Formats: sequence, structure tokens, C-alpha cells
Amino acid sequence: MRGQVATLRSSRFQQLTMVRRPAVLRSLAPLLFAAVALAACATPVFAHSGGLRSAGRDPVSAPAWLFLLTGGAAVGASFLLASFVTDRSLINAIHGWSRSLAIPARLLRVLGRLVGLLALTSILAVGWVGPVTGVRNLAVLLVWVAWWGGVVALTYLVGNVWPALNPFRTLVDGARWAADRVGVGMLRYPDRLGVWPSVAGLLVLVWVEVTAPLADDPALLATVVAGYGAVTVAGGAAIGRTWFDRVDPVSRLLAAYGRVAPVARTDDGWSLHLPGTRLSDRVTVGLDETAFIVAVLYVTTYDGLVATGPWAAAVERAVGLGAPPIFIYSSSYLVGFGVALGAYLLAARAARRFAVTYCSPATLASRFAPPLLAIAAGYHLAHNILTVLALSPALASVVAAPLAPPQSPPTLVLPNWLQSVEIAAILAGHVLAVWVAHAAAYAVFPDRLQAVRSQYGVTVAMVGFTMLSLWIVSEPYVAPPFLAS
Amino acid sequence: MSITTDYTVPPDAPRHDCERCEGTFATERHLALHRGLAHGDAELSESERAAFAKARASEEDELGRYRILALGALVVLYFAFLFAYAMVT
Repeated sequence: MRGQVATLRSSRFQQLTMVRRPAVLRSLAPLLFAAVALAACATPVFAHSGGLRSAGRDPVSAPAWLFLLTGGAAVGASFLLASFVTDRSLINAIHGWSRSLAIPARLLRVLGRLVGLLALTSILAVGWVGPVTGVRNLAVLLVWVAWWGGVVALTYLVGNVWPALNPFRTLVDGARWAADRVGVGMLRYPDRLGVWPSVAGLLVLVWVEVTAPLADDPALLATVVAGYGAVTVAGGAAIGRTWFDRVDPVSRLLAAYGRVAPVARTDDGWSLHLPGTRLSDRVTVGLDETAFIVAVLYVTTYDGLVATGPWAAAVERAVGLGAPPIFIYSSSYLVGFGVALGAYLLAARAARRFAVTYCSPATLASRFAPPLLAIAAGYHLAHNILTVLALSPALASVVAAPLAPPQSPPTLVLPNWLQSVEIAAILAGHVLAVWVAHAAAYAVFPDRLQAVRSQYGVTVAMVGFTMLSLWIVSEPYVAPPFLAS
Repeated sequence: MSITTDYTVPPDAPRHDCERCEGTFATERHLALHRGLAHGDAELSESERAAFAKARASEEDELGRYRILALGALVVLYFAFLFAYAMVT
């Protein structure tokens, strides 16, 4: 634990909450492979995997390349294992399983709205007039620990609570109610825009999050929240709730994460599903929806990538050659998104060729995009769980006295083994994604060989992406150069 | 949400169209399997049912071969890592 409270940056509180030790992570690599080997023990061939398991009990440090390859292999192996499940009725039973839930939704909604409005008021008030240090300021803790860490995790682990909590939605409902009273109608949302505005909005919001010191400067954070809120309320007042379904990047992000969750809203109440199984549901075809899902995964990765050493070195070299930092950050960000979307569409095209199908590339792309949300959720959990755990006592003590918080709010010192949770979360996300894509392929193709072959390209992309993600979390945190913090 | 599957068939490619829906397939076997899975036993004629059973059998055969290959790949992967860890650590 280093006490550099003043250098908090962005949504990642790494410097404050932990010192990353790649060696510790890498020593877990044998464990990770042993887990896959254990899963494979179902086939008798693997009955003698004791060698690796005993290696797991007595951790040895593996080099980085082997650690990364092991992670990639775990995903590749889970594709092979999933492909052994060829019983359509079993897949349908797993994905169709559901129980209806009785939730006091009305009560929760009223409570959620009150909590949401109270939180928004606190963020604005304390952000502007409260203590200037990030970790002592309620606004910073509410936004980054309670909301980005807690509420978002709750969204994919349990269910999407954001529509009930979202204070801007409450304000929009109020504004619409008042407008209806005086007879001001709504504007029509142009359908041809699809959900593209939310793709652009998400890219812009994360761009601001990465480049501005939103965790260091409570007043700036409050101003950004106020700006976002003004746009949201104005847009919502103009076109109604369509704003939150099609345009607002935050609501759409949380709705996307909510699709991973076990609890879902149905036409007549609430239902419980197995986690992730709703990701294989059929949805409408559209490049805009696909691009949004790819953007969700991409922004999470970019957010992690800019905090690595090699990134810092590359940026410093480019600036040394005379490129303005803002240009490097913005161009790499946009080009990176183009590459990510292109790589995904290429994988979908590969599916069309390998599976020998006439399903349009757009259909395939939109069918196999939702599983990526499981990966994004795993990555989000890996990135935030330690921060939330470490800073939760700080949040509690600052909530108790927002305007006169303790000089250095208490934080939890986390045991090193908790870092294995990060790897577990990333792998769990990928394995879930592999399974869901398998199930979606079975729903699309009449021939089971087509279903298996359609996943070749996507699996290669996922293996590469797993290795990239594991590399990012195993790199020590380096503050991105040339950003104000 | 609506169920939408668009089909785009390259010109001059062999196509096998479903008579009951918009589905179009690259091989006879895919079409036979599609009829049996999507349109159900009751709708099918005698010959379509027979074609479905035959397609099923050939699909099973090929799946069997695939399983052996996949198992082989898992074994190779497993031992490759076993040796890699033995050498490196």
C-alpha cells in the first residue's frame, strides 16, 4: 500500500490500492493450466494430470510468454471441450432454463430513484465544495468505487438496476411529465441513426475518462457529471425514454452488461436464468448494435493498455519524434477501435466461410457479438474488484462525514492471493463467452459441424484477446505519460 | 426482438432453398437437417423425413471423426504444456 493519495488517476486506483507483482501472477500459471486439465479429467486420457496439479500446489514462477500462452491455451481448450457437447436438447435445456421471480419491483424502484437522486446531489455538491483530495472526496468515491466498481459489477453479476437508479432518467420522467402537462410534444428519433450515437457517445465518454484526471480532481469530475447530465436530461426531455434505449451510452452500457446477468426483466415480471445464457438469444441484426458491443470491449481494453509500461515508452518515443501527445492518444484510440471492429467482422466473415453457410455476414456478426459481453464483464471485474474491496472502508467513512472526512480514510490491505481473482475473472469471462458462442452457433446452423467450424475464426480472435488482456493485468501500473494527473 | 436471419448467396453458387421459409443452404445435407429441426416431424413428407434421418446419420459420422481430432488436439496441447513447464520452470 503506497499512500500517494494525491496521484489517484482515472478509474484505476492501482497506485493506491496495490503494487502489481507480475511474478506473483505468473506463478499462478501452472494453477490455471491445472484447472483446465482438471476440467478435462472427464475424459479418461487426463487421469494422470497429477504432475501439473502438484506443480500448482507448490507455485513456481513461469516466464511471461508461458503464462500468456497458458491463458490462451485455456480458452482454446475450452472451445475444444465445449465442442464435445453436441446434444442440442442439452444446450437448449441449459439456455432455456428459467424461473420466475417475485421482486418487490415497485418498492425497489422508488427506493432506487431516491438513492440515485441523493447520490447525484452529493456528487455535484461535494465535488464542487468538498475536500480536494480524490480519496477523501465523496464525489470521487461515489462515482468510481460505488458506481463504476459496485453498480456496474452488480449489473452483470445480478441484474441491471440502472434504470431504477439512474437519476437522469428520474429527471427526464419529471421533465416529460411537466411537458405533457403544458402540452409540449416529443420529437421523433430518426430511426436511420440506429444506436450509432451511443457508440460515438461511449467512445467520447471513455476518452474523457482516460485523458482527464477525473479521480484526482473532484470539481472537474462534478463538472463532467453535470455536463453529461445536462446533455442527457435535454435529450431525454426532447425524445423521451428512447434516449436511454438508443442514445445514452451509459444506459446502453449497463443494459449490455445486464444481458450477462442471471436476473432479467420479462414482459410479465422478472425471471432468473443461468448466468450468461441470455447472451445466446436472438436479437435484431445491425452493424450498429455489433459496433456497440465491440466498443464496450475495446474501451475497457484501451483503458488498461494506456497504463502499461510499453505503452508509456511508445508514446514517449512518438512525442520525441515531434508528434503532439493529444494527437497520439486520439489517433491511436480511434484507429484501435477501427482495428478491433475490423478484426471482429473478419472473424465473422471467417465463420461464413468455415461453416459453408449463406447467412449474411451481418447476421453472423450480430449473433456472435453478445458473447463478447461476458468477456467485457470478466475484464471489468478483474479491473475493479480489488479497488472496490480496498476502498470500501474509505467510502463508508467518507459517507459518514462528507464535508469533514478523516485525513487519510481507512483502506483494506488486500492479501496477495486475491490477485488470482483477476486472472480467474478474465478466464471465466472468456470460457463463458466460448460456451455462449457455441450455443448461439447451434441455434443458427442446422448442421452441428457447421456450428463447430463457424467458431474457428472467433476462437482464434478470443485466444489472442485473452493473451492481450492477461498481459495488460500482469503489467505493473505505469501512469500514462503526458496526461494531466 | 424479431428473429432475423438474412441470407446472401454468391452468384453461381449451388443453392438449396427451403420450401417453407426463406432459408437457403449450400448443401443438401444442411437443407435436410434444417427441415427436420426447424419445421418438425409433422410437417415433413415421407421422403423429407428419410432425408433428415440420412443427413443425421452422416452428420453423426462426421462428428465422430471431429471428436477424435479434437481429443487429439487436446492431448497434444496438454503434453506440449506439460513439457514446456517441465523445461522452463
